[in-house]
Amino acid sequence: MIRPVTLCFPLVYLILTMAGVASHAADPQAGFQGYPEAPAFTVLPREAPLKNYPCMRCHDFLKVKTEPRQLRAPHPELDHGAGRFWCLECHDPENRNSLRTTPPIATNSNEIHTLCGRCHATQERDWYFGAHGKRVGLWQGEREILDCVRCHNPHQPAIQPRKPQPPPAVRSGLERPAGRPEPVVPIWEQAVDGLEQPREQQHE
Amino acid sequence: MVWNNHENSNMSDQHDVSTQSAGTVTVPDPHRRRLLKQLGIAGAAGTTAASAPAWGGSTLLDALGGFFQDQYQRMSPSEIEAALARIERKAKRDLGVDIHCDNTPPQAGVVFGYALNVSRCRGYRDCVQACIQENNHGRDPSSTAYIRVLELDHGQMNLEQADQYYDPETVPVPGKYYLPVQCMQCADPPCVKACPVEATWMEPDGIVVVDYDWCIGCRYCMTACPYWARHFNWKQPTIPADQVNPDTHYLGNRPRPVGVVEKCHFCIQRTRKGRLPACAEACPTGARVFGNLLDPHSEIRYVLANKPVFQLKSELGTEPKFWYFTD
Repeated sequence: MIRPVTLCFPLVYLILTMAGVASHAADPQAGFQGYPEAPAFTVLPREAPLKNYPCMRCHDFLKVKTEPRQLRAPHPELDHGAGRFWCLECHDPENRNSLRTTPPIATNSNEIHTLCGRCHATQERDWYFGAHGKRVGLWQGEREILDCVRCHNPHQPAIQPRKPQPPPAVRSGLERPAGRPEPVVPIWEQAVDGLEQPREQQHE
Repeated sequence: MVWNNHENSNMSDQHDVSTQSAGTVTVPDPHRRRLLKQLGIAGAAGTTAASAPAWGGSTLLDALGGFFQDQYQRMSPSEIEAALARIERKAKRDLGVDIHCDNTPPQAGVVFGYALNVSRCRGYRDCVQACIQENNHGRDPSSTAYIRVLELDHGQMNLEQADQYYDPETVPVPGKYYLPVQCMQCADPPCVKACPVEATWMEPDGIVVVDYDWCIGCRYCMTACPYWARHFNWKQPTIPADQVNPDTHYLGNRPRPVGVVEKCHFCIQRTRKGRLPACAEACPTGARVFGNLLDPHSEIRYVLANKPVFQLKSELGTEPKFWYFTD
């Protein structure tokens, strides 16, 4: 016997769809449209225009090679994705001026986050809401933020270590401490030793 | 002048000139110096008049105006105007710079909050340098700084094991993490309770400020602060004229005298005009999030609602408005 509750679900879904409540799932061509509840923002444009853009100036005449190989100038070395990536993961093989997102965006676009977010979705969500990335200028009023590629080189995204700014001064008349104080054994490591001892005794 | 003998050579020119003009002061022998210290300020009026520059390097009118100046919260608008003008004139005399000092009031419906992503901080100390330049800290080697970046071992939260003097070739050092500490702008600030003269208080936008002219330099607030966030001017801060930030605020980065306590004020001269604090602007990794806690759509509210956040020493109940979070 079919219970009336089971019948209810398709009916409710149909009504909701007709009423337009479920319309946020519409238009797959448009792709991911960002987070509508995120505060509005403008992305600061790139500091310098891309050197080799548009790519099709050369690649119009070059054959598409899909197999990975040693890259030569003017192309940068690729160190992204631990060797699993090749140019065409991100660059469109048909039209190198654009990047492979839905819909495609230009390589020099300020919407690069739509590409990065395909893998780094958590970071992208945080970037939309302001927990990742960097806001510049004002905390109030128009929200101006930096794009992913302002900080991360897309071809070598890991940020390299560098020299820190000088350490703070010691007040005149005082000496800087010679070294760090002796590290204490963390309490959990002490506890492990204490626990293992009786266990061995039990086995004996 | 007695105090200046054991300070290094880059004390302000004003003192040098006055010493020559007075012509009476030589290096006092240690016994005499100790005696003078014991006599203290009460008895030293006559002594300083003989040795210090006339009226402390000011005009008589400014010296009297400064002497009778009231606490900031009790001053009338015209008295504040006069005080601001005195500050500008003093900066011109002492530092040789035309500064602009204002007292921009707090904005309605704004309480400032700060969040710092510990997993993004890489210990570059760019924030420290930006703060020193923005807030007119002395540039001599033993001057103060509002931000302390602590280096800690992974898995370690014991601040006594932290190293603020780290200086390796490159940061981050593997196995270490970095914890910048500055004023937490506590909602229940113990430093304010400790002050015996009400020279420090919390403004309506949540910033704990100091009236440097009202501070007596007793340093009770420094012992009361659990975050090591208050700093004492052991000597007159010296700044080269071309490095002075001329955009100043009475409760913020105006040139401070020797012998008073100061602290991070969330760059009050910038944030009350809508700008980001200098440390947030300087951070190269975007680890710092600043905003209005009362705005439900602000970035800081998103962090507080969606990220694992913690406060430093929250068990003390000081309710810091400065949170740390991780990705």
